[in-house]
Amino acid sequence: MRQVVVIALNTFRENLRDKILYNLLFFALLLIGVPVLLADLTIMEHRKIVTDMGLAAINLVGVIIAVFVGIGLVSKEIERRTIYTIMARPIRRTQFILGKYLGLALTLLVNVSIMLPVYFGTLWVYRAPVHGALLQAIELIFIELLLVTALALFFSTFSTATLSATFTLALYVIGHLSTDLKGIAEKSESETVRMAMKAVYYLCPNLEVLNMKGQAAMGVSVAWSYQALASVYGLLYVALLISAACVVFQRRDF
Amino acid sequence: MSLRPLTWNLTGWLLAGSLLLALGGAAIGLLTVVERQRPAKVRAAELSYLPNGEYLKVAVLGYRQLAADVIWLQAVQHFGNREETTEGYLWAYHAADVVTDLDPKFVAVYQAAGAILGVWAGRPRESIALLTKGMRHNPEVWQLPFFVGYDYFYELHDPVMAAQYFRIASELPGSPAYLPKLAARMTVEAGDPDAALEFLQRLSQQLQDERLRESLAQRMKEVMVEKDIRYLEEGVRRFKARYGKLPVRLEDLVIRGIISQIPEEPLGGVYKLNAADGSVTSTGSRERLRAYRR
Repeated sequence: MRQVVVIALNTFRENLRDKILYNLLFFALLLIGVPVLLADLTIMEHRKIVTDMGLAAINLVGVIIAVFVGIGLVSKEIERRTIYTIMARPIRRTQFILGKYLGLALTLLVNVSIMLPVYFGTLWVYRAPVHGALLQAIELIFIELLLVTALALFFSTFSTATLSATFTLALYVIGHLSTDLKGIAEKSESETVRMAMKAVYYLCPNLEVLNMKGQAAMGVSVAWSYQALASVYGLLYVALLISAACVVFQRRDF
Repeated sequence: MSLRPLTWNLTGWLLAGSLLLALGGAAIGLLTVVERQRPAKVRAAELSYLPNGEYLKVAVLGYRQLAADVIWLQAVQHFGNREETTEGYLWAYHAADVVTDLDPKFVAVYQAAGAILGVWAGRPRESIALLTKGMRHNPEVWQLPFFVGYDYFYELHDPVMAAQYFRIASELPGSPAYLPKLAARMTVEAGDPDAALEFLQRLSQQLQDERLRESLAQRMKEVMVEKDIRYLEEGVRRFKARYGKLPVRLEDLVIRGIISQIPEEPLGGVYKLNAADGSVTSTGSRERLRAYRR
């Protein structure tokens, strides 16, 4: 366990050195700048845009970090050949994977935690209502970020950085569309199409169940049972991907 | 990538395999539960949280058409949900409005949502708003003013406005030859069931959706009931003129040779005579068409 924590903290420090938290500047500029640009709108619209924009920015910035830092977690160590020094120490490969993952998860947590007060502060400045539904949505966004990070890490254990980014982004898009695609396929005449879509639906992570941004911005919260189940679903998928990543990484030859 | 030889023993692989299977199975099982917690109707209503199309346009960068397609694909899945309430159809209007903000040339959306809002949802005002928006962006498509004409004629009972839109439609390229004549007839003989029947038949030919056509077939039957009631009431009037009193039953009209037979009620009910005032009603439809209550 100590090894996992050491690797995690090291990954976190490395992320900070890579100046990943600079994205917060971009986030703040977006939140403050866009409503000023749209100054000719009515007050009600202003509030809605600030609310929507903030949630979208927290989500988007997080996904970009999760994908593009996530794919480098393992491959960078291999490229720089630092993996040899790590593997020479009494560290198991599963511990290495777990530590790397938790390090990026910590970076994302810190990132979202800094964004949160900035976001609520902006809402307060614009007199936009701050309600619990927003917190629910952000919690689910964080679960989504954890899932996307796990996807990126999983792909990076067996393919190149470019391919991993492509796969992860593709699954991110499919994950947001799979419920609709299944619905469309159910109306299809062809049995093959229906079966194929069902397989896609069950195999790909369903990210739409974690997306509450639209209704949260309107102040409509979801049931706590739903919140809990959706979060557990996301975390189960994370566990599945990390386990699979460990199994693949176990077999790599260094 | 190179793989190193298996270093785990069989037990290790079995353990790893069953762990992956268990996690995968649990995730799939939970997905079903989570999705059930969010029924189709709730997901449909989520479309009503879509931001205004004008802002969405900026947010989706250059992918406006693609975004419009995706939202429309989500919306069409919930169209045709017969349990939807009239109020519930408002989100459909909002979704169609957003889609056409993103892609104002998406003619199919105006047509489908316009027809559904008018024929099914009983929201002619929203239907007209959407269709006239479509006319502004696609002035060459004759079906759009044609559907507006339907809303005015059948849902809002305004044959004058209806005729105006039929005239616009008839002047557009590709519009059917019968349109100018039909428009004229409907203006002159406002409330004439025969003109209405012809119009509904023509409209039905324009619709691809089987269920929408079913709805229109029902409307046609209602118009036929109206036509029969008018025929029977005319018979009652002639009976009274000849014998100086109202008939006791409708069958008296046939017995006295005023009409040849009582028409069959197309909705499955029977025609009844109100002996007090000579009016005729049908047990198949609760009230006479609003269009003729003038």
